Amino acid sequence: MSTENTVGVVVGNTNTDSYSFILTSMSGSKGDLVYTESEIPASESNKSAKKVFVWGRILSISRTNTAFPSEIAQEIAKEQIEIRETLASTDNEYQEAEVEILGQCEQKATEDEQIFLSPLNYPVMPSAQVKIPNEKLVKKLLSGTTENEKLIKIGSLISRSDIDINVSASKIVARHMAILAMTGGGKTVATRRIIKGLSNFGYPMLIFDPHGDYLGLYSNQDKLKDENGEPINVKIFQPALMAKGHDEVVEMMITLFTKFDLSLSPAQTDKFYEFVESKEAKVAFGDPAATAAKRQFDSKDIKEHLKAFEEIIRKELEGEENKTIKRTIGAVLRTVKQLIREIDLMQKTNKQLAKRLKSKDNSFEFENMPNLITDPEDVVRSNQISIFYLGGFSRLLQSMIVSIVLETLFKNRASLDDDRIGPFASIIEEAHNFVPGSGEEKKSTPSLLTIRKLLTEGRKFGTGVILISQRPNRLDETTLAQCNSFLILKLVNPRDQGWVQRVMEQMSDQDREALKAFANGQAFISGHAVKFPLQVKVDRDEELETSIMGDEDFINENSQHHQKSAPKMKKRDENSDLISSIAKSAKKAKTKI
Amino acid sequence: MATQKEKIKARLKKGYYSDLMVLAATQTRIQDNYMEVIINLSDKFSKILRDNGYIKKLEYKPKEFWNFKGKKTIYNIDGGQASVQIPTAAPFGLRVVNYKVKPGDRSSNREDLISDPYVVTDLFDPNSELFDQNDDDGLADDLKKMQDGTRIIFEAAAGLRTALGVLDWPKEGKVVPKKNDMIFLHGPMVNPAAGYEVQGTISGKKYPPYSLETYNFLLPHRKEAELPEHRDEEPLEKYRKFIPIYCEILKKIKTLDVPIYGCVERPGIAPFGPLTKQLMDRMINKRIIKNTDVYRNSRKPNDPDGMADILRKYQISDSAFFDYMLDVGEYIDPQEINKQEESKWPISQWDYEYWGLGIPKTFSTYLKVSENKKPIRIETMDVRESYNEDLNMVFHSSRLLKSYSFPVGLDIVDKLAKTPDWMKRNVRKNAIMLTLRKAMESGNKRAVAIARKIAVSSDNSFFNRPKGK
Repeated sequence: MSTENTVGVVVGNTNTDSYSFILTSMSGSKGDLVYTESEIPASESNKSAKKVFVWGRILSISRTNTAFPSEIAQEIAKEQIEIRETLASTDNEYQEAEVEILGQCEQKATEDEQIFLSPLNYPVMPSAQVKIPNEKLVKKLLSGTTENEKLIKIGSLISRSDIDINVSASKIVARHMAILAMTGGGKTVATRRIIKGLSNFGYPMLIFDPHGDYLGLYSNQDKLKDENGEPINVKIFQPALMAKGHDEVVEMMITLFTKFDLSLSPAQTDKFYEFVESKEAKVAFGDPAATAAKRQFDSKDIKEHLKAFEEIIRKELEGEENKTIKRTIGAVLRTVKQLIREIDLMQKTNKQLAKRLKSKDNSFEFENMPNLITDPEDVVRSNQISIFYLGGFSRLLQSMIVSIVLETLFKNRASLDDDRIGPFASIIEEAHNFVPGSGEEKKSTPSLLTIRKLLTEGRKFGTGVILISQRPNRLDETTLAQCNSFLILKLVNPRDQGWVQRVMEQMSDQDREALKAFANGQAFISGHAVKFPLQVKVDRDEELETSIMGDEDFINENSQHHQKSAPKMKKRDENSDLISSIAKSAKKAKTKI
Repeated sequence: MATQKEKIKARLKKGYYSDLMVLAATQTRIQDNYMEVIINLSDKFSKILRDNGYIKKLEYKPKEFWNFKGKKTIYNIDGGQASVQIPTAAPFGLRVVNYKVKPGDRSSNREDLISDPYVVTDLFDPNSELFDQNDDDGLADDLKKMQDGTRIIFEAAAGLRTALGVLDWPKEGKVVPKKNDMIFLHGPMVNPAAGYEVQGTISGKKYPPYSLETYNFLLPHRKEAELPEHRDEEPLEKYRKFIPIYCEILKKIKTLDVPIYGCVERPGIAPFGPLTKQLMDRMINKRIIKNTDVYRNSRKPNDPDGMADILRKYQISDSAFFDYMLDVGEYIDPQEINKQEESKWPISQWDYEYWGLGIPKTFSTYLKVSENKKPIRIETMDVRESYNEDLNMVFHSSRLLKSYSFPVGLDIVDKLAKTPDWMKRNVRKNAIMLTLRKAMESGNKRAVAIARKIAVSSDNSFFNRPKGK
């Protein structure tokens, strides 16, 4: 057997899932792919054994020097001596690596274009040589499962920058993906990689962006092109809560009342329902039975509906003479006006945030959200990325927006009409706010059921979902389990680590332990999108980043603000002092009198 | 700074004195004033030693000391026995490990290791009529001496072979040690040879000579050996035995430039030990103390004891005695000790005047490395100019492992010389299987029954001594 590329020898007990080997110093690292030649029982009756390559991944490496007691370390540390100056041994160390077996292939299979592995059914032989494959072999091993499969280059093997790692775009959009990491772990960078990869195929994407992390795509859309060189359009929508039809409007109003904690007394509640069921309300909200002619009614911003409702109540109030009833109607009116104010405030905040962004980059254009029933193509279109900027809205409203948008678009896809929109991928940032796992939050999060539906039915209708979260243990477990591919970056919280391992099928204890030590951009990838779980270094698309939404430099901002406002403040303080002195003299004068 | 009394009191409270205390406690009269006697002994006698220059001092300055820049090589040699519980004679395996290190060398040649295993019976001459002997009472004891003697001679030969530069090191090939290098042996420099020469005046048995191959291995300088008989092309069986070979090895070592030191981890426990005796005799000769101070041979019950009687009465061995005398970093002026006692010499075979006294004497000292451990004994053939510096190396390398207080190089090589448990288990299992199979093949029911008993027991009485090649 050739000893070329040999990096170690198998030792100890072996089984069909793993083995250990003594690793030659400096010849391999954690995450490396290795293989060893082995004989396993042949499936053919006329042969007793066949030669195979058993492939594995180094999960961990331990390093020991039995001839170096820790007491020496104590003494040399205390006396500040360098160990090589003494007689202590530094040579008698060895490294033992633990390997997770990925599968086996017949030796002749390595000559094919791609290598496909089968499960190993017989342990490797202790004393077998372990080898590191060359780049060519690794590429054959890691390349896609079907011919012409659409691939996205996610990055490279964590220990070998010369080995590219590709993920299946088809599997991501059909079977969903979760990207999980602690804050600053590199989720957004990883997501941008996926977005860029899908853009290459012109795949439509919706991004629900609570903090504006992806607005950089808009600034840099000239750098996004599909594989034919066609440009990718990026649109930023200012979302609205749209509702159509009496039932929908009423349901939304009641939800908003509850969640904004706008309570009504029993008498007020009765009055409210009286107004809601009135003929005028039905006409205003849209109810074919209430109108003179059957007509199609439009989806409108809930604020418009509420204003119309406010008008109905006001008219009623003006016409009412009974003081008690008048008071009741007045209370209902005030509550409706308060709700309008709350929604108005959020929409203003959203607009102001958008304006602020625009002041930093004049190129930002925020569009009003189109009518998703009549014009869904404005949102879902080939070669287009639609970003729903949710900044300024409360968690509930964000959830409602996501739920309404996705529900509407899903219905369109599920209708199977000829003129329905094409398949699309939904990318949901801060996913734990939209598919929460805990009891209370679950009840008040409309997006949970919607997203679950997309995940369940995604394969049939092409409504793939990519969930991004820094709080995995707050995600709904059922939803997370529906994701067939996972990209896990740095996670330090042991609860998050344990949670993720529980949901995923292919994470070993060593992989879980590695999560807390990942540098930014290092990740564990597993699931349908890759052939086997691997540790990877995700490529960074710096050209798609914008500094506008980067880390705010508030120290600098304060300094600038102070420079700008200090003279004005000083003047104001001087004026205030003058007035104070006047006031004091006036007071004295009064006393004298 | 603590006074001598305070120091000794603190040492006496340490756990390792409990055995002495237990022993002393069996004689109530001694127990009453044991502490007082020890403290007085330490306080007053150490003063005499210091005033007369018998105690030397080393300073612990590790940062300054460890500054060799790779220009000095330390060789560390140890032998280990494969003490496997198998149905054969006592340990049949032997391993000699040689670890070489150059402090301060930053290259890959800083360390090197040779580890050679041997099967003891393979080392003996299978053509000798003494090789295949029947089981007999006493032969088991002789075989144990054969094993131990082989280990001793191989360790000594390892020192010689290292010093002569005949070893083929894996990294650097053949290397001849320089004058400023050092060789450490784990154990005494010289052993009493008489115990390893079976003359058989009582048992009537002898064990076989070493094979020619082994003989040449043990005496790489054979062509220039001091004893003419060693230079013969076909040396007689008589000279391929322990005493003549051992004598030749040690004589040759004494002539070499490179210093060799034997470091003894567990010195003897006999009270009024040889070094104490030698020291006191020398002090008597120099008129520092009187003969009666040591050997007061009075029959009058009220007369005070001499030092010899005191040390015997209070069971104070060499290591305990010098433990009371020395502070950390101090060692006793080395004393010449003759290990070959005439009363124990096997006269019938080897003339004591030539052979016994021909084995070089050693110079021994005790060095106190740390407060919490007894001093270690260090032996060498000659007290060279470099002696103080060499002891400084022992001191500093032992201080790296304060709780062990033994040169760290020897600790490393001791670990590497041990037969690993997995090997012992496998050897035992294979040997038992071999025994069972042989018994079954013989068809002898009694043999099978005995083999089965051996398989489940740990009795290592001689039964099927494995034959050599």
